[in-house]
This record gives sequence, C-alpha cells and structure tokens, in this order.
Amino acid sequence: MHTVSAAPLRAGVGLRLQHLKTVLDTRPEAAWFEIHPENYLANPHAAEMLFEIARLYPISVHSVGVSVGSAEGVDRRHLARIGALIDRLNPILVSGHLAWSTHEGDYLNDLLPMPYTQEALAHVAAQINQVQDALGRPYHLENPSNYLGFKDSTMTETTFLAELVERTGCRLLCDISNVHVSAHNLGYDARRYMDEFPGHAIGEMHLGGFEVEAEDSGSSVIIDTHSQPIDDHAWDLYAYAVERFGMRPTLIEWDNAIPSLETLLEEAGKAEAVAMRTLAGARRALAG
Amino acid sequence: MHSLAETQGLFRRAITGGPAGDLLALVRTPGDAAERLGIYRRHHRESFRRHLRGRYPTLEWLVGTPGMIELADDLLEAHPPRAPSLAEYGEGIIDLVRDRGTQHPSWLTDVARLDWHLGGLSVSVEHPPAEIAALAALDPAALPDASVTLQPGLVYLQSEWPIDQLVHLRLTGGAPAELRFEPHETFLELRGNRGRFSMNRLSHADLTFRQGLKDGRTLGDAAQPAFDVASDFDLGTALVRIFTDGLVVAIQHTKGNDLD
Repeated sequence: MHTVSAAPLRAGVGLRLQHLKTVLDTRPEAAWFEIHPENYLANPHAAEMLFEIARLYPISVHSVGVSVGSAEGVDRRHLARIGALIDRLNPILVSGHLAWSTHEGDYLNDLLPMPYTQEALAHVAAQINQVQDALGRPYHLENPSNYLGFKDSTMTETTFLAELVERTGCRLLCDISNVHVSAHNLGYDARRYMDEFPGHAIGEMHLGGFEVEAEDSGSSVIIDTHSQPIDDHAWDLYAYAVERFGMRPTLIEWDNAIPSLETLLEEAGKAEAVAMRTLAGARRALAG
Repeated sequence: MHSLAETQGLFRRAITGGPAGDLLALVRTPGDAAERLGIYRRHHRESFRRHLRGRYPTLEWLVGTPGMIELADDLLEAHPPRAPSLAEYGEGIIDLVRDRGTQHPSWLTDVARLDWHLGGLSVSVEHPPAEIAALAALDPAALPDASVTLQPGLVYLQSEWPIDQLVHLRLTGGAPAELRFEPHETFLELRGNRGRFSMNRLSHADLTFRQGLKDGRTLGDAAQPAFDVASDFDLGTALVRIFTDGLVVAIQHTKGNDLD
C-alpha cells in the first residue's frame, strides 16, 4: 500500500473542469477537492492544471468508471489508466460506486443497480480486491442512489456493504443524499438505514442535490441529478449521520447546472457548520 | 433466480431500447416499474446525446438539433463506447455522416471531421518549441535524413470545400440568411493548445510537407511529395517556417539522435 495522507475532517467540493482555471487563478480557501479521473484521461490540458492544483490542495479521486458490479469484471485497461493518474496525484482518498456500468465491453455511462445476492457479493468482493491490489490503496465504496430494487435480493444493502467491508477490508463512502433518494424511491426509512450502516468503515461522506419528479401513478420519484443545492432532508440526515458516526471528510457534489466555485464553497461551509453544530449539541447533551 | 450476468444482460437490453418484460418481472419498486426503468433509459440516451452534441457543434449548427440527435442515437446503437472515457468517444459520427451519401451535402463529412479534431486538439498541451539554431547546427549533408517531432496538437486536413469558413461563421454568430458556399480546395493546419485552437490555411505543398513530417518521415522523404504537388516548392522557406511557427519540438538525426 502507498503512504496516504490523512483526509482532513472538513468539507471539500467536487472539482469540475470549468473551475480548474479559477482555482489556479484565485487560490480559494478550500479544504480539499475531489475529481473524477475519467475526465482527465484524454485531456492533457486539464491534467496539467490538475497536477498544479494537487501541489496546493489535498485531492480525492472518485471514479465513475470502475465498474466493480459488472458481471464481466472490471476493465483492467481502464483500471491501469486511472491507476497511473492516481500514482501521480497521491490522493487522500480513492473511491467508486457499488454499481455496474459496462456490459460485454460496452460502456453504458450510468451507475446501474445491483441485486444483493450471495453471487453478487462474492463477485463484487473479488473485484474490489482486484482494484485495491492494482491501486495499492484502500477503495471507498459508495452506496448507490436507486430507482428500483430486485426481487432476487437476499440481503439488505447495508448487510451487503458490511459483508464487503468484512471480506475485502475496503472502506465506505456514505452518500447521505443517496440514502435519502433510495429510501424515498424504494420505500424504506432513511434513518433506519443509517442505523444499520457499517459506520466504522466510513471514510468519506457525500452530499449532492436532487430533483423530485411526479410519477404517472401520482407518487413521486427523486432523481439524483447533482444539479441543485443540498435539500433540507439531506442536511437533516447528514446531521443524524454526524451525530451517530462523527465527522468525516464530506464532499459537496454538483455535476449538472454547475454554479460558481464560490457557491460550491459556501455549501461546503454549510456542511462544516452543520457538523460542528451537531457535534457541539451532542457534547452538551453528554455534559448535561 | 437469474445469474448476475443474466440480470445485467436483461437490464442492458431494457435500457437500450429492447424489450423490458423479462427485466420488469425481476424488479421491485413501490412505483410503476416500467416508469422507474424509464429513468435509466432516459439517462442513458440523454447523456450520450449531450456528449456527442458537444463534440460536433458546427455539424449540429448545420444539420439542426434533431438531425444531430438522430446521428447520436444511431452511433450509440451501432457503436456504443468501449471505455469509460467519454472524451474519446464519438469519432464514428464522421463515418455515419459519410455513409448517408446524398442525404447530406458532400462537404458535411469534412465538417464533422473538422469538429472532431478541433475538440480533441484544443485540449492538447504544447511543448517549448525548438530553436532554429538546432537546425543550423546540423551537417547540411545530413539534413535529408533528419526528422522532426512536431507539437502534439496538430492536425492537417484537406477538403474540396472551405469548411473553415463555416466554423468561423458559427463562432462569430455571423451566419448570413443565405450563404453562397462553393467548392474551393482548402488545406488546413489545425492547431490546439491549452483550451484554444486555430485554423491556418496552407498551400497544398506546405500541407503535404508538414503532414509528412507529422507522420515521422525524414525531411527528405517529406519534401519529395511536396515537390510532386508543386515543382516550385521552396524547401528552405518551408523548413524555416516550421521553426518560426513554433511547430517543432525536437529535431533528430538518423538513428533517433535528439539534437535539441
């Protein structure tokens, strides 16, 4: 394993291509940035700026293309490409999704849902081991946002994640907004999900905006668009998670209708304020 | 119970426009399963459309958004991407445009090619150019066997139409109500560096010479075809210009000895 710098217990923001130059020009007060490595594989100009930024700020690498859930296994060529980038960046965290994105070698550009079965568990565990071996670093696996589940599932998502931690030693990225989205869409209780989440393995948290759509049936579905400010439901659940698990490096994700960097940093500041307020309240309760 | 591979095969088929019945029997949701599946289908389609429209701005400007979406959908169905690096996906649009034959004007294929290259080379990073002194230091007798390394963000393109005009019109927003677009042999040097690009018109001989150098030919081997297309090709001037234009990164003598 490589020597990895400790991730700051603060809130960072997702760094998108349109903000690279702004970061270099203005050197904003930011605790850390997270990037999608896939955006830099065929963009030498962006990579050049990223390497400069990495000399100034802690960087986390969050892959959207390492498909640990694909039945055919991870794409070794892609893994090698992002591995080379990771080696140059020496990031504080490396993460990806509990999902699948490729089928028979074709890339589907989405994070598609998994059935939670013993077969899937064994398969994903083997893929995570392969990823961790290739990257030489612990991999943080993110809980997905889902719009449907599978009748074949024989365990809950939290049990599936806990088993993966047990079998591979991987860490978890708890996406708070995804918990709210999936809980709403699949009809379970978000706080109960958090109660069952293997909190000891959480190395990072995510917060992202979403949009609510009406369904023909009269109900609603939440779409994980990362195109809005963080919703109050997610802030409440974040406070609940911080109270339960403590503060973790937390990321503000915004991938569509991307606002100014200043707005993203304000959201990060809000996350830190929520965490601090929650922890202060918990300390007061203990003292009282 | 279906295997993971079977489930994913059904899922993929359902979100890419195939029948969804077998998959719908496997999923559960408090909402309408077909409607929920539609979210994945929509995302799959829209994300690729958005990407391909971004890679072909002039083509879309010319064929219109519905036409561009049709091309994007056709490419996705016939040749889905094979890697999770979307920036590298979409060159197949050029062949699709060409294969449509008389459905599009003949120059549209060249416009698509121009769009594709401009998008790719504009994110390249130029190296410090070599000084012309490196050329002067070379034994004149060895010159024909020397070769040069050019900047990475260079593409040479030849068209029977002045396709660069169309890009200029789109970028300047100066599209006239009616454009008299006539054939004109056009030799373009496309150059990109750190988010910018330029399109320079060359003579046929200069394009031939520079293309040869880019392909790794020696100065002598690159010059010969240039003389073939223009007997008055001035090799000395052409050689000096590739240095003064900052195109050369390094010069090598035979056996790959780097002189700069």
